[in-house]
Amino acid sequence: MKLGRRDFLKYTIGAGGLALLGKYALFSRNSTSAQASYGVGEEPTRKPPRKEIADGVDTVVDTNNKFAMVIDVGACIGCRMCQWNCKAENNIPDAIYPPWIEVFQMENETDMASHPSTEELKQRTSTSYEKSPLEGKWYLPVQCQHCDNPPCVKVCPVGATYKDKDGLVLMNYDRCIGCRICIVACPYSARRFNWLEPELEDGKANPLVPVRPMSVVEKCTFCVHRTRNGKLPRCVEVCPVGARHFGNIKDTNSEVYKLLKSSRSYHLLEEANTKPSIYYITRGKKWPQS
Amino acid sequence: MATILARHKGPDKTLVDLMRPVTASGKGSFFFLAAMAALFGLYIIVFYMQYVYGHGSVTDQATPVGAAWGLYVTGIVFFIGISHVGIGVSAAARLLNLDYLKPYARMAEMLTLVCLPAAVLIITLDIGRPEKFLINVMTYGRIQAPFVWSGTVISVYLAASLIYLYLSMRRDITLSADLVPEKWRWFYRLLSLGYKDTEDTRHTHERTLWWMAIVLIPIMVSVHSVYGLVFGLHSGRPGWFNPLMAPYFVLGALVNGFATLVIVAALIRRVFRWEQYLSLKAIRNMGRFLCWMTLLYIYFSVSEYITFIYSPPAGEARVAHAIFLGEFSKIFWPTLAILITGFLVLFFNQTIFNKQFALWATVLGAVFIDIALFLTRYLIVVPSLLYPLLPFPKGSYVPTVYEFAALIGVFGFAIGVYALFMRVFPIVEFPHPGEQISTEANKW
Ligand code: SF4
Ligand code: SF4
Repeated sequence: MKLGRRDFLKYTIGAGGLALLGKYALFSRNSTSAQASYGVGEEPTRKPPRKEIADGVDTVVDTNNKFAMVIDVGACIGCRMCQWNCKAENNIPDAIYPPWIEVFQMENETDMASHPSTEELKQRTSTSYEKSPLEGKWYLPVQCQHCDNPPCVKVCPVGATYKDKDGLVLMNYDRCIGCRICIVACPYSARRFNWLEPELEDGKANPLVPVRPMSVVEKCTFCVHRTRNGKLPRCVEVCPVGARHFGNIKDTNSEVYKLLKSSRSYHLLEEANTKPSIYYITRGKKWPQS
Repeated sequence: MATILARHKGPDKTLVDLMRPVTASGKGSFFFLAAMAALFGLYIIVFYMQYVYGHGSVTDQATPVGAAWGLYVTGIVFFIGISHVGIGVSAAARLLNLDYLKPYARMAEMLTLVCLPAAVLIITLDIGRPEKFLINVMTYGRIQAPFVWSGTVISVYLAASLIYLYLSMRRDITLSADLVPEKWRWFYRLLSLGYKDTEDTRHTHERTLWWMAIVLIPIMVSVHSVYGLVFGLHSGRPGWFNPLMAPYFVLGALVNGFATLVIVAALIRRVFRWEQYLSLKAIRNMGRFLCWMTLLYIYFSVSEYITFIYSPPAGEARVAHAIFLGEFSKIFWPTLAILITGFLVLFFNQTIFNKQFALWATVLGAVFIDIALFLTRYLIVVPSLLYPLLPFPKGSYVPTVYEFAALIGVFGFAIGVYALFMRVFPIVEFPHPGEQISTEANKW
């Protein structure tokens, strides 16, 4: 059986990868301005499928970096471009739903300036909305927060999920034994599990991102294959209203650093003491009224 | 009552009687074992399906909308719980000199030795990649992780219990050699590893066991504490983050273990008509212990419920609502009723109407308690997972028939191995020379 699974993988990565090499050009929109903002600019090198199945295998950790994301919930229009582009970028199979990013539609009364109470969040939210933005609603995108004090990393028996020096919390899928205690530990429910053999649409896979085997955990990687090579995460790049910002928070010239200096920010579920790398700010509506 | 002869020259009547399960011709036992093996087949089938098609095709587990753990984890906690009774009883017998417990010590030890592997079987079933399980934990194991603690304590406990059982059985194995048919003697001779039944060896073995019992007690406590911590350490899971978890689990394990032992002992006593060797006094006292432990367990539970209800944070409030009034209330209230009934049955039977003590009532109480304990574990595991802190849509979890089948398979395994052991070794320790067995058989 083991063989069968491996073979499937090999072919998916191999064949899917080849087929996509051409198509991938579409994905890699130029983002030099962003590179400048945290200063590690280099085009990603495309390498053949790797042996080890893990996040960021072919990347180099720059210890001068500490990646952070700022999400402006005042600007977010809930279009879920980030959600679906992330899915394509990161080879997330259909069986995993919601994908790595989830966008909650919230009622206005649950103002984010204070902490949203979970109770209110529960009662007044929807993840299955069909139209956005709507008057009287606001939108809260959530994904792995790349915590500086990550409970998921603490409990993993084999170190399959780990905190890297540049702030990313990543997965080594080869190590994961599928015990799921990390899923249980994450207060943000950010981790997903491959309950079924992952199948990608038409076998298409982004060759820069490992295709995960069955029965391992996966989650947002802050697009490690892009960000460590000076590009923005896919979700930041595709956001039509610029609600997402990304960069090196150690760099005082970076956009995120300046944003956090100039605006009031907060973390999600601050009481969980996870010290997330995603900061939320609210800067008022920017989208055109419909 | 049967007083044991001072020396074992020629097969003693008692020993012959105690060897009956081994020496019996046993067509029945063959069918019984075959049935258990067939049940275990269910486990294998589910395991295979899961391995090939994934947990998602066999179980109802899901995440983040749904429960990432379910019936399997409940089963793990249940079996690990029962495994506590082994050393609990032997240690009580040895350290507190409760001689009347001695004939029950091996039954209890054996419960440990079948329940630990049963739990490991379910763990293997529950994790996604069993083929990587051992290797990766050995190679990359992180000492900070609760699952590594649990792996460590379980293996130590299992190994120590095996040695303990062997040492306490060595004499009986040696003596068995003379009681079994000619063609099997070599097996017992080999296993006895040259044991000579003298005053001296008996003494050294007793000393060693005494010390081992002392060492094993903290290990036993740690085993279930760790299981409490597997749940209690997650600040992000409403309903779990709770310093009571470790002691609560240890207590639950004691209750679980003693209830099971009472059931098993009563069954064995009845099936083999060993009323004269297995004293009622011991069962009654175990029942009494079980009764008070259950009361303590109810007390722990109630104090948890009060914290849960009084002024809970939002996340806890949702879980509490689901348990007490919402979708889980139809499991919760019956569970509480069963638990309290079990306690009351024991309470009246063992203390108030002490004089008319009835064995069947104690067993009934124990059965109630075991059922309630299983359901309580389910209520600890599942609701908290269905109510995450962020506003995900509400999930649901209903164990599938496959999950039940696998669990039944593990029960088949446990019962089968237990029966097999009884078919090979004497399940009641042979009395030492000069020792009296069950002088107080049916009175106190
Ligand atoms: S958000 Fe969850 S998965 Fe991501 S680092 Fe924090 S605890 Fe881990
Ligand atoms: S499921 Fe995988 S990543 Fe998560 S704790 Fe278990 S081994 Fe680690």
